[in-house]
Amino acid sequence: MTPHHPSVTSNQFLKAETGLPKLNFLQTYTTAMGQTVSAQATKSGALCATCHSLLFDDKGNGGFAERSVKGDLQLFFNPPEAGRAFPVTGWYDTLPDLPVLERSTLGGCQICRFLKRAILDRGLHRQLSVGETTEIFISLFYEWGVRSPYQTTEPFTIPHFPEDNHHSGLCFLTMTLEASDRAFESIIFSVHSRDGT
Amino acid sequence: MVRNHQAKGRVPQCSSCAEVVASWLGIDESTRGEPLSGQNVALVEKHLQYCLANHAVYRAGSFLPKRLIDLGRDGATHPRLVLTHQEIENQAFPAETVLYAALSYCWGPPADAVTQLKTEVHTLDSRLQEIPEAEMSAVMRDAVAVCRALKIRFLWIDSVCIVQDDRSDWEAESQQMGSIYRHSLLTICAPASHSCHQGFLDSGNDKIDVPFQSRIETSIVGSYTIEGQGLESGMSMLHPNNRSPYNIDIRVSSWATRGWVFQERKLSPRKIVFGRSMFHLVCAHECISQNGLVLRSPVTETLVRVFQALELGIFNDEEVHMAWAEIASEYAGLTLGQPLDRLPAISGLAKVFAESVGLSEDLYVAGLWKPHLLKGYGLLWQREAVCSRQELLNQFRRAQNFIAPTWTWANQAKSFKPGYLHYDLTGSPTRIHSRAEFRKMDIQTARAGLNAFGSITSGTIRMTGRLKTYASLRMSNQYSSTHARRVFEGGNRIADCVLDWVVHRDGEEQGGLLLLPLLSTCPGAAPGLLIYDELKGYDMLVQGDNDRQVVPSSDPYTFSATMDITVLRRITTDSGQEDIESICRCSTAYADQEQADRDVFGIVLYPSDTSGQYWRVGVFFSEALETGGLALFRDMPYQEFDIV
Repeated sequence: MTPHHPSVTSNQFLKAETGLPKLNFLQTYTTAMGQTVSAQATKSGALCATCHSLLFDDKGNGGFAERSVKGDLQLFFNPPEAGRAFPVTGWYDTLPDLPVLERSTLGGCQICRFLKRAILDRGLHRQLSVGETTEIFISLFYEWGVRSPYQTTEPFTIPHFPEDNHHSGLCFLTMTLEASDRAFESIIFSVHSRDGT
Repeated sequence: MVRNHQAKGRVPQCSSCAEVVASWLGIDESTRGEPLSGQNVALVEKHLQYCLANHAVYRAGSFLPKRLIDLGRDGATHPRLVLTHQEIENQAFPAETVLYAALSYCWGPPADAVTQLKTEVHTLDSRLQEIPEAEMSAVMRDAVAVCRALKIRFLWIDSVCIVQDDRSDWEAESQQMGSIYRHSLLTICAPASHSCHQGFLDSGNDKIDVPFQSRIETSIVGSYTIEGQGLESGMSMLHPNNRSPYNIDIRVSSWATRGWVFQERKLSPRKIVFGRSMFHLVCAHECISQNGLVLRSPVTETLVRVFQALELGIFNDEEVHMAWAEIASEYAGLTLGQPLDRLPAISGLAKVFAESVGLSEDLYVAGLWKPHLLKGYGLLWQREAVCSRQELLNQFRRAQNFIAPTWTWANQAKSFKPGYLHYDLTGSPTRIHSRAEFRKMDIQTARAGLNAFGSITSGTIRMTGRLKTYASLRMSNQYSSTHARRVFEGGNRIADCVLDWVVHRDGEEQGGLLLLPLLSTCPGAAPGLLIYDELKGYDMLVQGDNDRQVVPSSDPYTFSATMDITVLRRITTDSGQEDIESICRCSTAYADQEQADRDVFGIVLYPSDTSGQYWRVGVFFSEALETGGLALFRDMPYQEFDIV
């Protein structure tokens, strides 16, 4: 099995004093609510730069629209094959307190709170000795992969079997954590339609 | 666990918005409510009935465990332990109605395991009267809830149905575990639980909604949900195309890394797998997830179809060896709380394997099968070294910790690469002329208890062969792999080898080693063979990267491609006869010439502390070039010795 390595690495992000890196298109991104927010939003209690980067940028990643056989508009990429990673963002932080995420959380960013808890819930900080700190590089990337060829609630029936290039979709958000003296770890987040839909 | 949905207030709530976003981004549906909702129970029941009617290989209930937990007909009575056959004799219930579920779960840390409900000699009578649900662990209570929802009256749980402090009962029942899981109506698997005290019906994953607006089709506005699944360690991340909800749920679990779970997972024909994200119904044909996704499951996700093929007798000897070696290799790297359980924890599977192939139990020796050892290739396994020469030799000397002799994979808790002599890189059979280079082999092991497939106290191979001793060999790194080494004696290249201890990359003298030839092939026939490639250290994963270690195929969640191909080929080939490509270009007569030079495969030995006894410490290949091949051993006399 070929290991999949994201194209996001610590080398691609400058270690910035200000913490979270800024991605250009997100600095004036119009959100779902019609608000225009800036990369300064962390301080104002709105979405921080990390939250912005998590908003999947279909156009910036090279996507285009095409109609499916059912007539729905769907997002495609060229070449069409699934199995690609879309870098989102990356930054340095420090275990166990994760001060960069903590600052953003205190600024009101719910996604940073969510990500911080995801890291601490997995117990990575428990690998450290008491009083020990370690710098880690955290990176996030979306994964565009193959979806199930068909969905069903009936046993072993095949209600719909679209053509091959209609099988891909946004599957996972992966957060990788790298420390110079520790193993590479990643936390997997599934992407699915909102509950109740 | 608090679900983090604070961001919900920031994004549109209309369901159609979310649907449009889901359709545009091709994202999966969310799970359909609580695992045991009426809709989900109906889905499970439908699939279960369909599988039983159309896929069933082993009739559920055709084997009955000695003890079962009876949950009662209506769910109103208290669970109690029953002696199954005694109850049937007493006509408490007819045998044909006894369909049972089996539970597969992690006991967890010792502190948790010791406090879980179990049956011991002094509690057996009270368990036969009643098992108070309040005393059950969280995992057991959830399993009972699943059974009641699915109207399955009987449940098998190892800690309750085996008398834990009765050694003879434990040995007899652990040997039956293969049959218990193989004949269950449904196996309830709990990868969402890390301990017996953690239930699996409420995974409690954190979720958050993320807003989305397309920059291509700006009218597409809404949100989707991201949900924390778990931690994946190491560098062997799955390719996105293999990241189905089922694969992720398995990979982030500790359940799938447990040695005892292995035979439960592999032998169950029908499983309901409760993962961190959702449940999945898995049989040998399909994997249906709670959110409606349907995947064709790998042929070897359960071993049902492999055992079908074995029972049909369509595998030749080396393919039977291949089937077992792949199973053992996948198992060998898994975690066991007690290292001494290494053979017992796979004994149920070994027993089923023996029954399927028609091998008698006395042919099973320390995790290997005598017929494959006698062919020579059974000893040609290799693995990545993780400890120093001194550490390995010290382990060999510690008799009080004896688990298995050095000639078997079971000696160490580490995955290995089996030796396949007559197969190419794709697992396809090839015709080469091979010949045994030893005269006699006798294998003896001593059982530690009643279980013929369980622990042993000793194991010896007495051989008559040609041993060549080397005062000093220089090992140097010639390949991308870090554990295959080229071997020189006095400047002459004589072999390539993989030792069971770490050898430095930059050339290192190794004293006191012996080479024992086991099999030879016609010169030049070896390139292209799977085993040749492995011994040469070539690995697709590390091309152009000399600084990384080669990791043997050790993904604990999928069977190797080699076995998949072989099984599929055998299952789909009507006659079982194939057009085998010949890579041996010599004449058949050449193979019979005793003095002709030949390529050699064999093992590396090191003298034990007892005269005439050796430890197996590696595997080698010697090419019939100027200073290698069978010529190395031509002047050596045959002698008798032991490998222990």
